[in-house]
Amino acid sequence: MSKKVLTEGAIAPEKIAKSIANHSSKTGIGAHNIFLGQVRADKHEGKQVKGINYSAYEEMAEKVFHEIRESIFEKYDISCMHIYHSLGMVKAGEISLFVFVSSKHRGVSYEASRDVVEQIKAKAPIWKKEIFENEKHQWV
Amino acid sequence: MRIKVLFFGVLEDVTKKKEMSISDFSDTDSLLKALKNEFAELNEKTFQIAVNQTIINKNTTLNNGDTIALLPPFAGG
Repeated sequence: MSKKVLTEGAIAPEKIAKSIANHSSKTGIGAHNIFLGQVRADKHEGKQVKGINYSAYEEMAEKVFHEIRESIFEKYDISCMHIYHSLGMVKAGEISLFVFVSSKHRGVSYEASRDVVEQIKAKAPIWKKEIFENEKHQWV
Repeated sequence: MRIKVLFFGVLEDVTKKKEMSISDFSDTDSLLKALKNEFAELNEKTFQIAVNQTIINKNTTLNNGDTIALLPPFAGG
């Protein structure tokens, strides 16, 4: 079983930088494709979103992430992939999803990265609660 | 028989709880009927049901120790 995808709070830019640096020894890789999901400060009826509180059916979500991972490795000729998704509070402007796909050539890295993100959206039991400036909330 | 029922996302607000324990239901249809009776607002909500972390599409027999989860539309990312 791969390491856990769900991580408490926002994903720090330093973690992303470190992930890139960690691949410098894997010199068979010629392309990295990184997708980052950022929390938007949407406005609903004049109320501004200050952040999103993420919750998940954690055990099932980790199982689903594992299945997504397996399906991607089966479908695409990629060297490695990493997924991190936030749980709990993430403020507007912070990163909540980090998908990192590496391959020998660029084409497949774009396709695989898109596929991972779409599968997460469709299959991972994760929910968003938008928190407004006035502390009220709304499930997305 | 003990069955655990979990509520996620907006359904937590509907039921005012994250989980409950039940014992008197033999399948998911009868359980669902009782839940909709107890929490009328569930009738207006869209959700899928997972039995032991697998989403089901038809009535499913319940066994001792099963975990049932009510999952509103996913919104990850």
